[in-house]
Amino acid sequence: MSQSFLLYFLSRLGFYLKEFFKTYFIYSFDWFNTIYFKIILELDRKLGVSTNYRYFLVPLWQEYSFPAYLLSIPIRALKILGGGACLVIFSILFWCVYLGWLGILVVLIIKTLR
Amino acid sequence: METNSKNQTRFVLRDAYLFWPRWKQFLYRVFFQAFLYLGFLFSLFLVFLGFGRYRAGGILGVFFFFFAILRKNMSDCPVNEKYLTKNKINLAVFLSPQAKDLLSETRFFSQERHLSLIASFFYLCFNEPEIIQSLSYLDYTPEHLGELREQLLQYSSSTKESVQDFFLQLTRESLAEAQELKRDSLDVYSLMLGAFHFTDPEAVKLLEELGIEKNDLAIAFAINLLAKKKNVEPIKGLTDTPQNFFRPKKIRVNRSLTSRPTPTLDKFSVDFTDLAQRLKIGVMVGHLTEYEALVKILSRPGKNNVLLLGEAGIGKETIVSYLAYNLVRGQVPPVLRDYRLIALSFSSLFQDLKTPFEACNRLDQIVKEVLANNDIILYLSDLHNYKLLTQEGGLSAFEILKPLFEGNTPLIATSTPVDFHRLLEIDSTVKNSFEIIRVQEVSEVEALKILAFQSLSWQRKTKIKISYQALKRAVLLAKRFLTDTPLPSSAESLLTEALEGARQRKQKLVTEQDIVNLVSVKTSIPLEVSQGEETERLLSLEQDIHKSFINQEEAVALVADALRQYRAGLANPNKPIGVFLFVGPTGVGKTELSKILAKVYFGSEKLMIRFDMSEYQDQRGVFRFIGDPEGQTSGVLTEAVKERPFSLILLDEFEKAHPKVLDLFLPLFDEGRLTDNLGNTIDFTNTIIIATSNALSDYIKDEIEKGTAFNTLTEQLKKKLTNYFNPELLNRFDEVVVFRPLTQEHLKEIVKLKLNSLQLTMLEKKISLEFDFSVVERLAQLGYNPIFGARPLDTVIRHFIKDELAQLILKNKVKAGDKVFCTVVNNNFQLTVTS
Repeated sequence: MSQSFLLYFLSRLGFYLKEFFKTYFIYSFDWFNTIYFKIILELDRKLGVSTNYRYFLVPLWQEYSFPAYLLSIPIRALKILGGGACLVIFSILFWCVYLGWLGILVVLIIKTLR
Repeated sequence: METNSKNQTRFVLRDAYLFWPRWKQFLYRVFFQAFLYLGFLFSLFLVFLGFGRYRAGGILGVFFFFFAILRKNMSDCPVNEKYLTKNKINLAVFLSPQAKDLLSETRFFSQERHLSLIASFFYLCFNEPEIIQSLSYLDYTPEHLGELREQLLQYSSSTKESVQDFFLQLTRESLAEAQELKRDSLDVYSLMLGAFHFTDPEAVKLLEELGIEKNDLAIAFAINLLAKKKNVEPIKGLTDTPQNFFRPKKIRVNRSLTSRPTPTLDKFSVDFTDLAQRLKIGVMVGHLTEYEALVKILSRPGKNNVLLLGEAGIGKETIVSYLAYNLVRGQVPPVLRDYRLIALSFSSLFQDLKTPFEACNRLDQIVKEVLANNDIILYLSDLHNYKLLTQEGGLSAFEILKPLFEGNTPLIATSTPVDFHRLLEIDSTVKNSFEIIRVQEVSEVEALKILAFQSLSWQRKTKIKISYQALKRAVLLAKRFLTDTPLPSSAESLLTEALEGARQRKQKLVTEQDIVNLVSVKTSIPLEVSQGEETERLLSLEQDIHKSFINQEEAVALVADALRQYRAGLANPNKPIGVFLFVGPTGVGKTELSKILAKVYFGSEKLMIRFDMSEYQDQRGVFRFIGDPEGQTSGVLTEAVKERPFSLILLDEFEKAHPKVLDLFLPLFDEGRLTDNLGNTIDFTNTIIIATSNALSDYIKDEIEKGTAFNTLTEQLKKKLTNYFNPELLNRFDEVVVFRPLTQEHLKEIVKLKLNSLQLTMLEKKISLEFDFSVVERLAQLGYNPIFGARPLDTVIRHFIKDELAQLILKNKVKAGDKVFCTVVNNNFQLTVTS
């Protein structure tokens, strides 16, 4: 079990280096992914995208009449499209941020080694 | 250093640091810390003063060293399933740096003090601040821990002990504990719990001597860890009145745009789904069966109304709050998604009333609004209250609600069993429209979890800690003695009262003893093993009784023994303290013994609960004891014991009661429990029950005159008593005690007692009364009657002594300071007055 001081120090340093890259690239993805799904679901609840999709054929205020259907289908379609667009924009921005995050370290390493 | 577990995974412990000498460990720590901090500073220097690649390198260095500085206090790997699937696992990667230091210190301490490793380990654990803090929840004071440390110093090391094996075993056992405690690493908490798994004799002996239960320790750790989290705030239930939140109330429609505005409903209700959204409500412990039944009923197409029945404080509203919580999270069947859970507030209907009819008008409007919507689950708490709200010449509130019962709106109503029975059961609409779910009391374990969590909130508000042992005791004692309210409410009110008491006494910790004292005061039941004055009283109980009671030593000894066992904590907790049947001729002291026992031990004859069973000679006597089935009158026996759980119950002339009345006592004598007319279980386990009977008194007298041995007589009597009592009832008596007829000698002793009592009465008037032995003999002669026992004695004393004394006092022939001497001359009583 005895190990020299230097070897032990180097093994610990190697461990931290490995952990650093693992955390930065792999664990950060897990974290970003969890946050992303949390926000997306919350946004969906607030904007009512999936709710309006589910109730697409149910008229507003349950007024089962032709004029009500005429009104409710476009309104629901607008809500779905509008909400969906918000979700897509958010997703794009979010993952761009993540790519940016990844890029920072890559750029730094390249710059250091060049 | 390797070992195999059952699942063929090989555990090893490979970390050179653990086995280095102290100086090497210190050097390494200093060097590594210096490397990290200097590296960080150097990187910062490069960032600000460098350029090009050096600046980029500096930024990289800042990232790396910052990460390493944060990371150095964590274990290499978290305790996670995905790291435990390999064939060979190095347990050292799960050890936190603090745990590694603890293990190293254990080795050094053991070597320096020549102590066993496990003793050294526990010694050092008791020095850790977090362990000390956790143990304070188990009522361990610093002084107590000091004593434990002293105890541990006796365990010397053996030559067979291997440090490697000890460390490996400890870490291996700690792994499961860390997972149970949801810790990220093998830290001090999990190591200490892991040590409880050691099975070698020395370790077992040590653990027994420490007297700490592993499960209690685990919960104390969990509470301590939770107390450290800043953002934990228990989610509470609601009051009945709608609350004005810090935003304007607006008409709310849901996201699916299918609901219509409900302005009246919004004004007189509380939106549970809104509150659950904001995490104000929603925690539920226990009640899972009731909750699942609730969701199932609400989800079905027809008859989807639920009536939750249970005592106040049992958790009905908790279940409803939990439903709201799950509605918000979408964790309900698809048919219930997007529903709002609205609680109608009955009391708010009466706010700002201009006319008496307005409450019902408001309710009518609310019903219309609810019926117009298809996305509301309406919660009506205390449904029976609507039955009580009636308007003259119009419909009652309950009638106004009826369209809702048949509509599509799922309803959740609550009521208590008593109110349901009294007001709702008779209405067929309720039975037809509602599915009844009986809400059961949470178990003691669940109540403990709720209160452990709750205690953190109280701790934050009052800065007073409640020890875990106090929580446990509160749950146990509330369950046993405070049966009016179910758990956890009964234990909760006990704890809040104890907190208030601690606050007034300026205490920082509520201990187990505080809870015991509080319950003793509330129930008048002495809960602790007797001490001091009470011990003296118990040990000399026979002598004290015999100061006013002659003969019947067996009966006195039996009753005194039963009481001593009870107060020493040795009585069966599931039965009354003692159940005795005293049989014997009339006037020999059966009732008198009970009265004297009540006076000597319980403090007063009035504290005895007495029933003359000759008054219960018909079947209706059962209802007089436990209350009538309609709930109009309460039972004399059940109410008396509810009021005074620790008491003496005397059932005089037991054989005269109707057989149905006698059957009532079967569960009482056997299990110390009786159910009253309302279904409440009354606890008789703190009562001593004495039944008296004159049955077979002639037989007893004849057998004693024949000289039959007392034991034989008792056995024969028990067989003959089956002519009067059912064998199953007789069998339930702890003892059947035969009272002997009184002899002349006994009578003389009784006369002396009665004359002594008369002397004391005269002394209060400052008149000295003396009598010679002839008076005693003559009174005993006159007062003795083999049929009536000692009863005629009172008449004789009254007639021959007290009447004369009364005449002397009234004629002023004797006054304060005088002396009256009583003697017998020619068979006549003579009273002589001297000044």
